[in-house]
Amino acid sequence: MKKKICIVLMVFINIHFVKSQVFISGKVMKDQNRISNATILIFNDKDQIIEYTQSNEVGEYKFKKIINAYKLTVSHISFESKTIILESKNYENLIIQLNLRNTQLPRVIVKNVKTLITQKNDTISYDIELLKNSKDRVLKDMLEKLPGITVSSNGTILYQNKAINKFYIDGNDILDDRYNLASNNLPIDAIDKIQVLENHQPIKMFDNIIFSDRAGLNIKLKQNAKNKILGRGIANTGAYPNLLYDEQISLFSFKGKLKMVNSTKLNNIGSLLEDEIISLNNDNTLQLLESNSIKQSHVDLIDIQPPKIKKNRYSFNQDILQSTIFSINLSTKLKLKLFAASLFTRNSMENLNINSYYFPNDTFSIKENIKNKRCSNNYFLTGTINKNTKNVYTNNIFNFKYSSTNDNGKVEKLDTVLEKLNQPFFNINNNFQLLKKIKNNYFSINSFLSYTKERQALQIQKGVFENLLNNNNSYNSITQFFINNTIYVNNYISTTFKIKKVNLSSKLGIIFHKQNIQCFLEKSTSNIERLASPFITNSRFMNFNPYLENGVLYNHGKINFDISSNINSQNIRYDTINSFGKINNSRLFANYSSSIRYKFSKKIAISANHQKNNYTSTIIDNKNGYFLENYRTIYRTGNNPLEETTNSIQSISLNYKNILKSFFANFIYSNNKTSSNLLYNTIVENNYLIRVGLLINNNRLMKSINLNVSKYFDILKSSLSSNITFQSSNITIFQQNEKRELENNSFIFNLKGQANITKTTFLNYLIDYNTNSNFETNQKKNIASYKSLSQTIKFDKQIKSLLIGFCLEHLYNNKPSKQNNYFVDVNLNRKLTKRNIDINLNFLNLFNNQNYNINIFQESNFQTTKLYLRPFSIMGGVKFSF
Amino acid sequence: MKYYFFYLLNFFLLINLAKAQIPNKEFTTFKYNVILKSKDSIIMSDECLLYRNDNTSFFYSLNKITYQKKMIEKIEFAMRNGGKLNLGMNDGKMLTNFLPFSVIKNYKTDKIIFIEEIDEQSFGYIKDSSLKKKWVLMGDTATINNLFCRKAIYNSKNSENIAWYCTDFPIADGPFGYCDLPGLIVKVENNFGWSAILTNIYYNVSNNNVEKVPNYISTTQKDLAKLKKRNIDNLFGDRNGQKISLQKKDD
Repeated sequence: MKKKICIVLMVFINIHFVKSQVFISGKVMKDQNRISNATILIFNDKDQIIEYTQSNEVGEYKFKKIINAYKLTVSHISFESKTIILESKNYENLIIQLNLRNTQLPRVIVKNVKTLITQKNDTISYDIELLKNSKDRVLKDMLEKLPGITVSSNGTILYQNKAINKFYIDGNDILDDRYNLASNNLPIDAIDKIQVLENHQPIKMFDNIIFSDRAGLNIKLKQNAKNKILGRGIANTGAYPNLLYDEQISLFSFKGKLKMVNSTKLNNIGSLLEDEIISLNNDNTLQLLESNSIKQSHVDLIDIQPPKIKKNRYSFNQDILQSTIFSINLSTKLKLKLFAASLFTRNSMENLNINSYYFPNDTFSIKENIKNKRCSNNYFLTGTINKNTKNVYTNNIFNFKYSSTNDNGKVEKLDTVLEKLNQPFFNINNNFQLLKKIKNNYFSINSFLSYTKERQALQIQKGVFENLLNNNNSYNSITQFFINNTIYVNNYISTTFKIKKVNLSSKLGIIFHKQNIQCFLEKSTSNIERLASPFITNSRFMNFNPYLENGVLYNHGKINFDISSNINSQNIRYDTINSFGKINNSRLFANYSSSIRYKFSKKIAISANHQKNNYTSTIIDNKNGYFLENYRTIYRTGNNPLEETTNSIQSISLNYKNILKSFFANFIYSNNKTSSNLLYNTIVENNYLIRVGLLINNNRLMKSINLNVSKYFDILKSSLSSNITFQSSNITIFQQNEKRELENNSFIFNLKGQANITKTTFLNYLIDYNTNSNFETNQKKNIASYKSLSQTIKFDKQIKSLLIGFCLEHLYNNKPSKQNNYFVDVNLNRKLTKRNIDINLNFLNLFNNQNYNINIFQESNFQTTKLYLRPFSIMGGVKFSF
Repeated sequence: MKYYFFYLLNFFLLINLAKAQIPNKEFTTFKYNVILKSKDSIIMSDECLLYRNDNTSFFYSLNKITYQKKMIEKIEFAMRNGGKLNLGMNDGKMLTNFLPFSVIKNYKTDKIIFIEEIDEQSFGYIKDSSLKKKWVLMGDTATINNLFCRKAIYNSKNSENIAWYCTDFPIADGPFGYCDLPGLIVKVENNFGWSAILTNIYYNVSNNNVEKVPNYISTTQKDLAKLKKRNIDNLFGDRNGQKISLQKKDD
């Protein structure tokens, strides 16, 4: 029975199989003409091709034994395709007639296969050709568009919200951290790619040994740019309110052993040239501040904090800058770099300032019209010798700086006060580092030496603080002198031992810090008289500070962990106002820091940091006796001990990047707590402020949340970046002999977008929204709050060789009353392509807005300032690059 | 004696030159982006054209033609002005960025001929004696550069090849030596790192705008390899100071 069933089943299957096998043959024709090279396709019922062939020279085709054939399609490039549904039978001599093609064949549309960002290991490359448009001229124009990168107002380049630690041009560190010279001047046409070197360790010896969470930036030049002198020049002039000029010539040479960057600039259009040569990435900043290598004003004219609007709107300047950098390869590994610059600046500003001091029971306001003219001469010289190999690292930096300022101020209120400020400043410092690798261990010797000599003199006419300084009688003038000589030496040796994935480091060093400070007041009545104690102080300060630092660093794949402790013994000897005998103050401080970083994937990394520092201030911060800071503020410090401060910082950050989608995001939460033993009590007497130092706990707490997001949209050819910051701070202040707790909350929203709408139409959009509110913590009483909004829309259209640009700026302020300001700038730019020359004509501040209000809140002081702005002006000239 | 030998050689060359194919009908030209990769790095990236008429197709480097024209212009300029030949760094870089061969497919004789150039002389050898390949048609489909494509695989002894073809273009042709699929090959890649993708189509291209198939000397792949090796040896010999000199020998 089973056999019978099997036989029947097999017969059935065979019959079915034979039925589904078909034979097809025939011809492909157009009327009576036979068509060769036609493609004949056989599909099954799932629309899959199961057989195919081509018609031969006489238009014939043939298929044998086709299984599961469903349809036949004949196609030819010159004829319309034809489809025949097949039945389960053999087709012999099937003649297929084709008609001439009426429909078009599909078009090939190649999507942009180039991607803006590519990543290879730790190097991220931006293909700038995708973002470049015809209005871009220098490197900075491009950097501002790149997702993941932001350029701050002073030119600092940040990657994922952290300042870069090195700036290379074709792999060479020519500019150190004065990279504004390249950002502002290097022609965009010379640049091939911009590369971010993630987790960049600048010391080659420590590569893969000591982890770095900061990035380096490399500007890759085009091949033809490497072999010639590059340059950019501007020759612009204009009119109104006076003769305007903006001239510059910058030269770059990256060829051979001698590399050079040379820049000469002068202008009076509000472009401040001191930004051009500032150090943007000095890891040594804390040490430079402590050693007084960086100039700080102890006496000053009454002035305002720089407002957040374009500098060229309110600055009336005359700047001349000459800077030169040479980088010479002395041997294959040893480099010598020389930087020399001179900067002359004159800047005048006028503003109407209302200072309101919110005291517990009343509000004290000062209204003053301020006219300041500042003038300074600055000279800089830096020499660097560097060797950076896998086995040895040597770096010696010698710095020289001399500057002199001669500032004049005029304050108009009920009566007029004239101010004169002179601040000659001289500093030399030398920083030497030698690192050597012996087997897997690293040894280093470091030495930092600094000498500073400065003299600051503020003369005020007419005499102020009459009751305090001249028995309530009026007098001609008073001059506050501040003379400082500082020697600072920091020498240390360090070792790093590598044990598998753990590095143990030890540092032993000594800081020697000596300051001699003279502060005195000279009043002019009928003759010049130097006031006696407590208005005169000759203070000496000496700190002998040995320290020991130990650290453990663990590096393993996705995790990086380091912890370090610092024990330092500060042995301070100093003088006080009443007692010229030496006072000894020996303290032992323990500081520590730790950080951990975990990389979840190539996209996400999280890190947490904690550090605690204790330090003692120097007598520069604790000037004994009376000290006249400006015409209306005098400090009075008694025999206070030196201020001791404890600072504790915790932060958590989360980084996300998706290279394929050109998306970057970064989140930071930080908590900063500072406490010290000194608090100033502000007292108002006869329209003057007296600040008296009190030995009271001074606690400050600051919390901040920051979110940064940036993305490039391939299809829209546009980039968008946004920053949101929320900051809250709690401070203790002492006013009119009363202690107060204040809370300040601020919110900043920033959005920046740019789009290449078409090849000839470009749009830039910038929005900056800011709210600030201030409370009395205990009473929840609102002291002052304000909002400000700034929007800028730039629209550029290229018509043949003419680029027409409109810039509309809207500024809004709700204090002292709601105020909207609109600025319109128009620029016409004609590019002579053959010679890379731009002929430009600019109409600035077309609406002729002549003033703008800014608000600043600090402690309990609310400052509203009416700024006087540049009126309508016309500029024109040529810009060229080669 | 050597004169007879020289004449014989010339005669032999002339016979071989006569075999050169010249397309002569207006047809469609296809542009491909050709890449050679090794691991993750791109060794070569070139723009190539596939020109097809009824019986023949010719696949060649467009960049090479552009480069040659540019060089001729430079040489002519130098000759006219009597100056030095001004060669930039890019000229050297471009030289290594060409597809080092061109391919002729003759549908009439069912042959694939590869042409390579040594010392400005073209040599052609038959790579495949038949255009027919044992492609396996797969069910996978994809849209590549706006074209609906189907997948096909062809594996031989050493090579693994994946092609994506478009039946909307009923031309059984493709880049390199690939062909014999029921539609134009839009994208192809193999295990040696070669890949090509269709980036443009030019319809009704006049013969004048198409590069002529070069006159070549027929040889075998084996003989050409020997010739190349000898050429390299001579080059290095020259570098090492062992100059090659042509000495006049008396019979």
